[in-house]
Amino acid sequence: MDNVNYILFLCVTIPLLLMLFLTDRDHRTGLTFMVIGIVLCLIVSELNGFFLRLFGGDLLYVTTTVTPMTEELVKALPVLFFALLISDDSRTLVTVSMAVGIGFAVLENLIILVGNVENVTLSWAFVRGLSSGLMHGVCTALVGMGMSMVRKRRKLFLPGTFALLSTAIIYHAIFNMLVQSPYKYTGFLLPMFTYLPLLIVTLRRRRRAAEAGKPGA
Amino acid sequence: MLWYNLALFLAALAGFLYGAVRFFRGKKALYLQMIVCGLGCMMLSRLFQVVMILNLGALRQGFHVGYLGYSGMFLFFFSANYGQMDSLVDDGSAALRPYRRKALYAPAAVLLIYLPIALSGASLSMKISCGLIAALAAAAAYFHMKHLIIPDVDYGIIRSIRGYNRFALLIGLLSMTELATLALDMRGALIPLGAALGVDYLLLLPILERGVKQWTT
Repeated sequence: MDNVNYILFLCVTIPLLLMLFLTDRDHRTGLTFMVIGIVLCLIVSELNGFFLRLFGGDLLYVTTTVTPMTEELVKALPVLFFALLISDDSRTLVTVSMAVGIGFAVLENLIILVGNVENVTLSWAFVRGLSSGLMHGVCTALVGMGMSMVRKRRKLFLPGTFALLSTAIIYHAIFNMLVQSPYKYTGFLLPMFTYLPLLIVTLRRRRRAAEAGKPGA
Repeated sequence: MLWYNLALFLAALAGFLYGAVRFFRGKKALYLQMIVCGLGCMMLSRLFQVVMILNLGALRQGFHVGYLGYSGMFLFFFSANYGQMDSLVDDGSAALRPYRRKALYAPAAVLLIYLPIALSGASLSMKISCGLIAALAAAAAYFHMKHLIIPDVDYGIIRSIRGYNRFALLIGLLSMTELATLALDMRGALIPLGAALGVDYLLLLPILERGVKQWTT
């Protein structure tokens, strides 16, 4: 089955696209960017295949050096456009960027699942969902969160965006390196250690906004 | 190299956590938060190098993602000074031209340190990676130096953070020396360099905080 990535892509995207027309405006943004994340994953899967062939099939080198760069750059693009053209509101940008990352992870997990269908178990699915799924979300959310800060000043935007991308790429590469090492369980926990503070900060902000009576809290 | 990078990771982690607690609570200046992010980027780079050594037994020759930590850190430092602080102290007037000229000594020093790397027998990818890092370090060093020597504006905003600029400039020079040491394979010099860098990582943000306190008193 040569077109398995495309088959998976269509199976996931079509129902989501159909749902998109029925959702109200508040929820549409998140869902749209999740679909964008899925589309980006399909593009990156082709790119990564090309790079793997280019580097002579050296999977460790490609997954710890090349794919973190291609994936983070591609995932940051819609966030960048959103920040530039639509809104640089911190909360919206974090939601949008997290949605791109999670959408990306959904298709990536499916592609890996289908590629290793004889070896996967329930525990694999659980660990994969919590680690790699979250890692993509957290990496892109960090870029989105930072972008909302640097967007406010023109002089900061370009160097700030590249600096944020560097940070996300290294984080991604650490995860990829750890999960292929004897310390893979540390790798699985890494996204959780980053996600929890992010979650606590978001919940606190939401509570404070609710107490202050801000709309959308 | 494992213990060297591990020690520097711990120093950068301590510095980063200190900054995260002090400068991300409440509404603190973006300038401060960007410097914390810079140190965080270097912390991740050191962690990546630790994980790479644990996994592969040594650092990969040529380009690896760890180099992005240096460029990310310098980009954050550069963005903070160029995007946030510089317009407060330099109105572009001709009277300040001598200070701008004198500040060029710092990037010149950075590029001078890069020269042995360019002339060494290191791989082309390492020369290019270090060249890009040197360019960013030079840009950051220019503003650190400028803010060290430029006459102060009202309220002593720049004077109070000269200690930070001194330390950040030192980080730039030491980091470039570290890269030159690695390119020339002079491992013995890494111990004093690492000690100096570790102290710098640890003290950078407390010194900045001490200076910033004078903004409000």
